[in-house]
Amino acid sequence: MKVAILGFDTTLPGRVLVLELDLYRGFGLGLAVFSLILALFTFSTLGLHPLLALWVGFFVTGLSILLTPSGVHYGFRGLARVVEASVENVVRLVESLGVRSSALYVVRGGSVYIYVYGGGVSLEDVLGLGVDRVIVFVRGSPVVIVRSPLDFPDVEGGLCYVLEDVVVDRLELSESITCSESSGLAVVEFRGVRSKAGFSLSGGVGSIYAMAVATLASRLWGRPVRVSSEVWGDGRVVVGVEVVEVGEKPAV
Amino acid sequence: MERSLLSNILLVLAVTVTTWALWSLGESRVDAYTSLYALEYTIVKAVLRPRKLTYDVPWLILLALFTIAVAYRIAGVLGWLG
Repeated sequence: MKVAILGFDTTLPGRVLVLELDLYRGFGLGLAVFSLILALFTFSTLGLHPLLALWVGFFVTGLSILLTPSGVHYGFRGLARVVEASVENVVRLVESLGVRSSALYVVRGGSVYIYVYGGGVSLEDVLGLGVDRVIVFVRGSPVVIVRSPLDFPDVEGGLCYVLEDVVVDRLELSESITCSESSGLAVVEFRGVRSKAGFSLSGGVGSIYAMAVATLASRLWGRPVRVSSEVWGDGRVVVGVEVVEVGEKPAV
Repeated sequence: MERSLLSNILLVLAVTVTTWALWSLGESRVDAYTSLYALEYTIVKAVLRPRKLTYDVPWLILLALFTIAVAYRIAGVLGWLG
């Protein structure tokens, strides 16, 4: 359920900005505004009365609710099973075709697609391909094109924030993450990992964690991305991704 | 239960119980209330690590109130308030 709150966009004269909030965050905004009004009224009539502290406390709590991202209170546990199965299917398809050289994550038509290609195919060749067919042959080498099962179109914000939102909170695939993002590079450590989906194809499409980082990085950055490294340890995995520049020699 | 939702529920409970308890004890200093709110918020934030869309503005507000209250008390002890 949504509540719409109307306001005026000062940067665009004459236009009305509609800010949409769900019921939970709308309640937070209402609580904050209501508490602020009561605090001002109490201060103007009673001065520094303990009742003022109560309104301050509720104002802060209302702000905290307002700043809580939408969707965190919805259940996503069942979704993780579907995503894991999809990742396994993608990995098995690619493995069965013997295409194990490199994978490129590209946004096409609002969705993130994975291009898995061999050593004889250049980056320009791959970027020139559409997404109509699952397998395309370029100079005799197969290129597998599949839609990423870890693409979440509704995400927004920085990569590290989005990864924690999707992998830790929504899918519950790991207990926590440590993340570093800087100008087309990102290194993410997942601790307390709970899935081995896609693990067998390290170096190709990557595991479910590499796929998540590369997919979301490609979506948020809007540029082609590949997995540069993936190292598994005791209950943890470290994934590195990087933007691929056109004209660059493809990794083999 | 998701930790961000749980932290908000705990905050509402903490604010309500703190106000009731201090009021029952006859506490009339506003800074005593806000200082305890700041302490409770910090504990909830450290333990549950709730996610926020931007900077944790409520925490910054409480820290600012706490800092002002402490500075005011210290100034009173030093006799700077006349």
